[in-house]
Amino acid sequence: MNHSLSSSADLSAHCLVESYASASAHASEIDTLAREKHTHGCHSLPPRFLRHADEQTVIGMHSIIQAMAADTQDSRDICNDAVVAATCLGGQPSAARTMIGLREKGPVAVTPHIVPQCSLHSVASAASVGFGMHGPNFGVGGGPHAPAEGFLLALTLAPMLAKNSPSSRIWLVCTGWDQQPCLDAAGILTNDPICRGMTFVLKPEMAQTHEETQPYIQFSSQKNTPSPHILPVDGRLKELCEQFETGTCTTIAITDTCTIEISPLSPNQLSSRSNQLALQKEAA
Amino acid sequence: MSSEQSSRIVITGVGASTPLGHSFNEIGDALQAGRSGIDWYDAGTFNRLQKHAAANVQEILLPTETESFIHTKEFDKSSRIEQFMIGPAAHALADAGINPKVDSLKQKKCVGIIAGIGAEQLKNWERDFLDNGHDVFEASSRPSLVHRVAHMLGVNGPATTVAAACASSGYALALGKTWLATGLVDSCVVGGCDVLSPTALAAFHNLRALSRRDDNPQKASRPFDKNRDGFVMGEGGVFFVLERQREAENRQCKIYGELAGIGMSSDASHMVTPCSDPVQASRAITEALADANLLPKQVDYINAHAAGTPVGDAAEAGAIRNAFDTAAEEIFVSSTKSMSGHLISAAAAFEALACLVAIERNMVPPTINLDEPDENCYLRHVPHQSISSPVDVTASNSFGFGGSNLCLVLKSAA
Repeated sequence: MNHSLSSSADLSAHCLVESYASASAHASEIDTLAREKHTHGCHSLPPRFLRHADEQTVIGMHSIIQAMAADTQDSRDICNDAVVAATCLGGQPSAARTMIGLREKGPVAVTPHIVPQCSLHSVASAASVGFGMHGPNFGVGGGPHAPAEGFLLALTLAPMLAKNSPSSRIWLVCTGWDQQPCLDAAGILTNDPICRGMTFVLKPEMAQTHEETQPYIQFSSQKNTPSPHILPVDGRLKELCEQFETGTCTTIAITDTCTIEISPLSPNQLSSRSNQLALQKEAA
Repeated sequence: MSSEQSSRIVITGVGASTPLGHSFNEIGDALQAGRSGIDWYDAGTFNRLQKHAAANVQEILLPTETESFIHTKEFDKSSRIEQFMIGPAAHALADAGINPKVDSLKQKKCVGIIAGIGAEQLKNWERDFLDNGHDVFEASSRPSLVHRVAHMLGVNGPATTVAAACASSGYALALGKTWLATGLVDSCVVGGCDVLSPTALAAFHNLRALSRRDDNPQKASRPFDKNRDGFVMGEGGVFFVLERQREAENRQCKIYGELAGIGMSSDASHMVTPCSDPVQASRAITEALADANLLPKQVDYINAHAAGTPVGDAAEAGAIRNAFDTAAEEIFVSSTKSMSGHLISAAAAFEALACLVAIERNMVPPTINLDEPDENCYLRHVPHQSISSPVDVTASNSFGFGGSNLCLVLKSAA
């Protein structure tokens, strides 16, 4: 790509990663997962909230709950928080079954849930409605560039949110399949791929006031970004999750001269975090 | 020039392919005349049980001005949803006098693109399925439409798709404004597109969201009317070019208006039904006015989201009264969906275009079919016919499934 950056760029947008978590499940496990109680502290999804949800919404909500559990700012009010959900080819199995129904039985067989539950904004809306977040909510991506687009638009939203609602955070939820589902002519899955979700709880900052030990995401000039790992702009979610969870700094090249830098916890911090989470789990 | 002027974001290019026309002036004439773009629509083989009123675009035209961007043959072999993006986006760039392929090299300008498309994959799978394809059974991970179009047009900056249901293209405008304000890009193509499809028509019909009036399609879309019974689906594509005012003025190009303010919020209430509590919708309006540094009484015209659904229109009227307080008594309000139908992902961009028309012509477009205003929708309506009145500041509301609320404030750039 022959990309460049505006000559008048002032890309000071910057977000601390206050919490994060990933979740994954095989396609065959999603129905069971959807029926589980999705609860952490005072935050919980209404009963049967996910009964019509597509696989990526279920896994996305699950990763949000995990991120809530890992949140050091656990007591913070989330009612003005924003949701940006980056999904890749969501709703495919439901779409296949709907179209089979359309062909066999006509329009009467088309479920009304296909629109709200299988569109690009479905994960974001479900998070906003389910957890009562009144900040902006929108979906982004839809294709293989989804994780990169998610980080880009979270950083786009950051200065606006920092100005209008300084205590609010952005819940960036990335979801996708490791391999796309395959279905037969009757709409039955013929493989059992893994559906993956990762939630980043981002706190926008007007200026870079954080300590270097805190994980963060920010725009940066590619020239000044020594990173051991560069994720292609259409890099897979699985790779991103692995890099972040093993403490590897990652950059995503948005343009020739502008990248997004994703700086996770250091390996030592990761180790103490996992001990802390294990203790929390045991106490619960 | 003041710093305030230099940071203003203005619209310098417009491209559209809609049920009301294929250019700014053609659409403006239709809105001014109160002409409906709605008719009976045959959704094809799988539509045999239903007859729909819909706002269909008969022929998607490739404007001659776009020949430096794309060849007719390439356009003709593109799918309908691709055409609704390629044509208007290329036209908007041509209208603004920007050719990314040339400008990025010669002037080192960075052009970005944000498309509001709510269900691109669903539409692609459906089209392929109806052509006896198998994509929906074994989906391949090809780049999204916005990336393919960016490549086609030579757009050299960031490209992304955003979705917030019926507010999708409005979010594209809002985020494009931020890209320009932060300097991520020098100009940005923003807008949205959507197509009529059997699945979408059936889904909205089964949801009882569509009008079921079967007497006269032109009478089916009746926002704010006592006898409204649902919306009428439409299709189309509307794209703009946004730039910083200083650069637009340096280039001496036409400025259609300023994107002065944006406001966004969520109802967090229900995945489908609009929230009857107006607080969050009116918060989006209030934030947009604050972002534009304007008072409610300075607004001359509100282009309402009002799609013609019993719950949604009344909820929006409440939100407008809540946000504008006593000023609501004086501000003209209309819903251009009475003429255009509901363009779904493209609706917010189309309605931003209607606001620019209102500003340029000092004309308030009407809500046609508003025979008997619903008392629960009490506002200063403009029924049946457009009126001439000075229009300097407009607000355009968009609300989507999943409770996404958006308000754009557009004003004259003078």
